[in-house]
Amino acid sequence: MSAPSDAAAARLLAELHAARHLARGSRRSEAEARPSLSAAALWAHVRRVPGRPVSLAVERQIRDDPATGRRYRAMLRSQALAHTPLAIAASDGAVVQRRLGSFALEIVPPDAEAMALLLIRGVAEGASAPSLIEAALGAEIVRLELGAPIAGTIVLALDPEVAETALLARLAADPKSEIFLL
Amino acid sequence: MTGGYDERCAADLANVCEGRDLSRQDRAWLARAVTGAMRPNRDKPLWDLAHALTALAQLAGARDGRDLVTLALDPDLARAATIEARFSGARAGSAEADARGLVIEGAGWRITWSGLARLLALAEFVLTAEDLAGIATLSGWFDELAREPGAEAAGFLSKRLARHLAAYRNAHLPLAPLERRFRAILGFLHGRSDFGDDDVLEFWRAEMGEDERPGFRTIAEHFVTFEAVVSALGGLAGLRAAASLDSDEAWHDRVDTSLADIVGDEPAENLAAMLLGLPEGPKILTGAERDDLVDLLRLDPFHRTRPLTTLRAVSFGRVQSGIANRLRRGGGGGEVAERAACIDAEPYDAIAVRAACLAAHLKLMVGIAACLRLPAETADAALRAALQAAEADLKRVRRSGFDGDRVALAAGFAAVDETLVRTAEEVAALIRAMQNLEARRPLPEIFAADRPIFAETLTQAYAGESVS
Repeated sequence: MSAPSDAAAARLLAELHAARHLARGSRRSEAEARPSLSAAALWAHVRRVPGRPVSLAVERQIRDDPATGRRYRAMLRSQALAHTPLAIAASDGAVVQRRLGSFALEIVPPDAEAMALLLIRGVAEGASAPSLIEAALGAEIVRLELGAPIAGTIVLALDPEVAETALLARLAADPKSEIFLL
Repeated sequence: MTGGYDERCAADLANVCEGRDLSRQDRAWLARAVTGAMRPNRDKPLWDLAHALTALAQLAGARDGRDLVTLALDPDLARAATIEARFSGARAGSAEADARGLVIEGAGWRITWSGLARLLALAEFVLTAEDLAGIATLSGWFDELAREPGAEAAGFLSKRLARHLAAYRNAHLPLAPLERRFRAILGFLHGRSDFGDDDVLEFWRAEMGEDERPGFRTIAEHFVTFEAVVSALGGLAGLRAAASLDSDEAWHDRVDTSLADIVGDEPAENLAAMLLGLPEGPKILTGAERDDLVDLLRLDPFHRTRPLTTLRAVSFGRVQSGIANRLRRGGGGGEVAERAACIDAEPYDAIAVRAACLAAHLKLMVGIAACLRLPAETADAALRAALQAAEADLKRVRRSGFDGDRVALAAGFAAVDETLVRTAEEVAALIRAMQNLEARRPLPEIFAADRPIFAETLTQAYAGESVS
């Protein structure tokens, strides 16, 4: 039988033993795999504002390195008001709808007089409204700013002449793409 | 794992340490915060972190959790000096930045700039651990703090963080086997704090009767920690007082300093890590030479103070890990029985010869490092002769990288010569310790006495596998 104070002493010894070994191993050799982008660099990319310059190196890493892409999406999800990890899209004819949490996303196709529109419905009064939308599919990523909601709905014109909105229209229509509302 | 943590935890910690380029002391502090080796309160760092975020939220005008995550990850805030430059003199709400660091008025809480830099490293650890699995939850908690930053919110966040880290420890830090073993060591020593080589051996033999069958080297590592802790805390009484979590306040700082020393001050342990992390370059050490050196020096400081335990670990520890590897690969039967008989164990005098060869090689390489670094023309005649001899040695070495570009060779040496010199010193210390041991009794005799003991212990412990 050991004395009761031995239990506390043994616990401290165990914690110190693990800490010593951990501290020793905390400088890895060059050869070992390590994340190529710092958490800070990824986070800055998560918080980027559309239209401002971004690091192409960061974009390339997210696109080309699956582990970096996973870390980026984990950060993005943590900040999104809503997102679709998978398509829960119901497509009927030309109109695509999907649900993102409490929001409904809808594309109204163009007609003779107006270009296509992206509608985000369900912004409750007083609740925080999304200010950004990001859509991603494979190597393609697009992020756009959203305007203020009017009567609970945000409207974004999908101008086919503008590269970003054209890409968003295509990605939003694809049930395989991932969409984040930030 | 025998070290009390899994690979995920090691990688999570290494990411933060490398990303922030933490000093050895700060790496040791972070490791202690993660394993809970803090007294009197294991979760004091999380209490401090919650208060630091409360103060920062006010001083930086953080609107939400995201802003706090940004502050925690900001590389410009990784150093005490840059944090000070940004916040010094600031004041908002209950938070103030004075000349020494952050203060929360009314809460009686303060932290120095360098303490704050460490806390932000801890924040990055909890945010990014397990591939960012917790970041959504944490940034939600930060949201609540940012909405109403105050003493109450800080206390609440610190409880949440403590629960979060406790869950992480449950998943990634299997401390229970270590704890059980240290308890057994305390019981085995019956209130003694000093122990001898034969205590280590006897304790290992007792443990081999249990299910876990720990390696001899693993047990020796426990004794290394035990010795370091007992010596830093002033004996078993000091250890018990520090561990009891209710020591008087005046004593807290001293305990913390001692715990920091136990984890942070182990130069030769880092030497093993440095050897394993030597950059690619000229073949100053082959892979086998490097592994041999790590093998000899890994139980620091026992290679200086307890050469017999070092010899036992090198010789019979290898036999045992051979058996364990064999069993892990699904082998068994006759081969295990054969290994357990220790016929192939390396005799202690052979290990001494191997150490001498390594020492000679290191001496040669240290000489070459000098002749590559120092100008050949020097007024000191003895030094000039030594450099010329090293130059001649250099021409004789037949290893990759030694016959080509002298500038590249010099750069290769410059990157490692500090490690070389320190390694050479430690190997020399081991050789002296072995000579002192030999002076009392010849190494072959000691080996002959040890072999049947190890053979019997291993044979009994692995008997179940031998017959299958």
